[in-house]
Amino acid sequence: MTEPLLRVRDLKTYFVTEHGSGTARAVDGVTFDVLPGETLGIVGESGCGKTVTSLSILRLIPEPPGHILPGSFIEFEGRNLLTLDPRELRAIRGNRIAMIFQEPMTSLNPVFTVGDQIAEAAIVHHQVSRRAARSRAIEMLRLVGIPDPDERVDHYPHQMSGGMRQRVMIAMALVCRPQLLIADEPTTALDVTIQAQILELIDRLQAELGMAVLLITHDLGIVAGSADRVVVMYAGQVVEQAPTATLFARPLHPYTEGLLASVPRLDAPPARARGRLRSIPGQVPAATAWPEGCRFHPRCPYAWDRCRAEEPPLLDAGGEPGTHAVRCWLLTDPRRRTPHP
Amino acid sequence: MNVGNWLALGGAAIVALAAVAALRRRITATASGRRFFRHPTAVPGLFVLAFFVTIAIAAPVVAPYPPYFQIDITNPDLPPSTQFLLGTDPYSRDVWSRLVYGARVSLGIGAVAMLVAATIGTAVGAVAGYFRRWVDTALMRLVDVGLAMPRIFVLLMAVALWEHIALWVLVLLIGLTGWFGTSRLVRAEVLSLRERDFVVAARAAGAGSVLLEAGLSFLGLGVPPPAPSWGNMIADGWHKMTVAWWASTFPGLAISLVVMAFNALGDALRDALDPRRAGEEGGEGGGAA
Amino acid sequence: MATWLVRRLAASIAIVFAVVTITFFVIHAAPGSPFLPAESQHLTPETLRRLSTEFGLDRSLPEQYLLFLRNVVRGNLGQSFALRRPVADALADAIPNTFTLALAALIIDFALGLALGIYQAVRAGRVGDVVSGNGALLVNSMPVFWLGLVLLLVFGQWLRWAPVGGLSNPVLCPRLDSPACGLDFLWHLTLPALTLGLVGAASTARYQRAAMLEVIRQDFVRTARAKGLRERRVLLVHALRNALLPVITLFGLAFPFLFTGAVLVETVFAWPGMGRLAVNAIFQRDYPVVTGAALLTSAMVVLGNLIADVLYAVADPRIRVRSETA
Repeated sequence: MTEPLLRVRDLKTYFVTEHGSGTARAVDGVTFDVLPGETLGIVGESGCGKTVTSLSILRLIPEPPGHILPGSFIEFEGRNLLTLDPRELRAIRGNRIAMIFQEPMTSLNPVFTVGDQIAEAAIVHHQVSRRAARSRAIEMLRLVGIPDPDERVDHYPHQMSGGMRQRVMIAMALVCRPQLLIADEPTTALDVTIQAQILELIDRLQAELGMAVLLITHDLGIVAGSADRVVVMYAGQVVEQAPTATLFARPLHPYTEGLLASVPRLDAPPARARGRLRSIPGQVPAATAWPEGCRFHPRCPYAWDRCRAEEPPLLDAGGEPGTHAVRCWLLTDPRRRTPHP
Repeated sequence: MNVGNWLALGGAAIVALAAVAALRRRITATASGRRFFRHPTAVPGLFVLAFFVTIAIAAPVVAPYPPYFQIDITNPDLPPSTQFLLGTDPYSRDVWSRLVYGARVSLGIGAVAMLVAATIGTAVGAVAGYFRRWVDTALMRLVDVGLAMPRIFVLLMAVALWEHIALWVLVLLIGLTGWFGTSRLVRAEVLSLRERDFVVAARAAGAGSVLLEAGLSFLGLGVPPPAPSWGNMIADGWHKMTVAWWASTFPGLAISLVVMAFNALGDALRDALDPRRAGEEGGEGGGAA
Repeated sequence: MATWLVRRLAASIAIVFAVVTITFFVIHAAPGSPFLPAESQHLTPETLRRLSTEFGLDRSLPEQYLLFLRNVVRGNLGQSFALRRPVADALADAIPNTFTLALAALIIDFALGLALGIYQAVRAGRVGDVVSGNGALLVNSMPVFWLGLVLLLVFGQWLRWAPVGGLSNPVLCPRLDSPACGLDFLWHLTLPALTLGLVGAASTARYQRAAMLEVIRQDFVRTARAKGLRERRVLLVHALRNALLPVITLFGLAFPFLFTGAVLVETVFAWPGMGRLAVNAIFQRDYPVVTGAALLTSAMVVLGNLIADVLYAVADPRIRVRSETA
């Protein structure tokens, strides 16, 4: 087995809420690996902690109110990111690990040209001259498929469409040829046709540059097309983890089942209202008060006494060892997999 | 200061506290009211204003001397003592007593001028925002002109041309020259419905009026002496600042405190009415998405 | 950009024109003839006749208005009664002093205000922010002339660190014709400039803090951090460039404040500028000087706003590009 590029172990990121209503346990003991060159998808509804997980890797969580608990461990290329001093951390940010965000409209600085913003990372990390950085920026713009890059390099973000801006974000992230790209809902804010183009672009660049991608999304459809493996998150925890094909063919966690049932299919009428998963009843609980026992039990059609009392660990679901894990008591008692009347 | 004055002063502080507490009970029923009182400067600001308003109303019992009373004209400029809390001025008048009566004049001018400015500003802004087209254009060009003429120069011109102006005319003039900014914001508000900008504008009009009165009176062109406005008091003590610093320092401090309270309340009110901050209250900590 | 600038310039001229017109009619609405106030008996009949012809007091109102306009355009603002010289000359003597004072105050205002505002925003909610924030609010609430008096008392009288007023030492430096006298002038400038500058800085800091806090929580600041930039560069380049945009508006607002404040501060510090000239003129009922000063000040304010608009357009590419294509 190859050595993982990124190793996340028992990551806990909590937020102290204002006015003393308690601590929001946004990410509560998350563990996963990213292998070199692969695409790992992290899926879940909004509020499940997937964005906080991605921000925690580069320590971009605003502190306060947030903080990563001691005992958490994030290892990248053999070094623990959580104990690096600021200078060492900066040498990784934007250089070895780069990130693109959900909102291309607000994630670019409105007062600098896109060329300057792309070139900046190259200047900071690779100590290239302004001139060289500028031609790197033009080259990156061409790489991400922006027409007339020589002209576009001097444009400001507001002169570009949403899809173009996301391409610029990608160019900016990849200018230093990172080993890992974290893409947090990269297409959510875009039109459907543009979405497909951006995903295709990420796939192509991943193949060309040989980097790993951590793809964070609420959309299983995107995962199905791009990811090698999938981590499903619910209520700050990993609830299921499997190779993409396995997950779609044999979802074991009731929450994954629900998610899959809500993906629109050609052979069935669309079941998903925008942003809301219709087939799973109820809502994600507040991060300040996760339910006792299994955190999914209030919404689970199979829940029984044990689920309400005892929190399940990640259990191995068989198949090739260590590939498919599920946080559900059903694995110990498969006969209960019949919905309550 | 006799025992009665001290008791009255203590009483005024208690009344002011009670007023703040009563207001707090009233207002915290609403979400924006709670936000207002959570602001760290809201309570001190309210208290300072309530306190000055109370002593202004209760001036005859809080002040040991009448405001014009010259205690001993052969022996002026006495330093602060238990008898003369803030000393006496170059005309041998008790500074504390004049400060207390001066609160009536200065706060009154601030309040009336703010009222005039807010009324006219709101009316003009609403008309401009409602009718649009040429009415809007004409009124807003007028506002441009009004904003281009510094208020103090307009007032100086008026005073220079009309020789002696009555106090009420002065107050009216201060109000009449202070509405331009308000109207511009109200117009924007009619177009986009934002009450917080109005708060900002009203605060500026009120605080600006108190400061403007002080400036004009300091130049000898404001409230006619010997009426005890705070600006007049600074002007009276100015030339003997080196021997009797207290006569000018304390009224200036009073102005600063009141204007600061006003600004602090404005800040708290603006933040309380800010819809974006309103959204923060219900949200969970952190951007868990 | 050029057409936009021309339009903006035309609007500015229109505003100054309106101010001139209002000034003219205010003078005519005042009791008595504008150039024959009750107290000016010291004017010789000859001067009065000359003034009458010069300003055409014997003609009809529209004619007088046109004459007045023509005179203003030519820089003829009339004759000062008290100073017995043209108003324009008296103003020309005073303007450099006021301008120097305003410029020095402006530098203190923005240098101190921006630094403090950025510091407060970066340390938001901590002790340093709360203490300096309340301090700024207090200074911002002070009557500017009173702050001048207090500074004068403390630094001029008690500590004797600074002179108590005037432009320069009247005995040693009656004229500014040596480097030593230049220093003497700067030394005299310190307290008045500090007075105006501190009050301005308090207000600038409050705006700057709010603007910075607004910007710091925006997405592109996180993007800048994710790029691996130093925190200094994130705050002082990426955040600050955006936070400066609203402050440019403040630059336009600083002009009225500086000129209004100068009237009072010049009186306190016996600084022979436009403000003191105007105030003295009022006491002598010398209103050609008062109206001249008002006119000039309005022109300065309009100019300040114009400069702020141009700066804003230069600093914000969204506006710059729009006006280029327009």
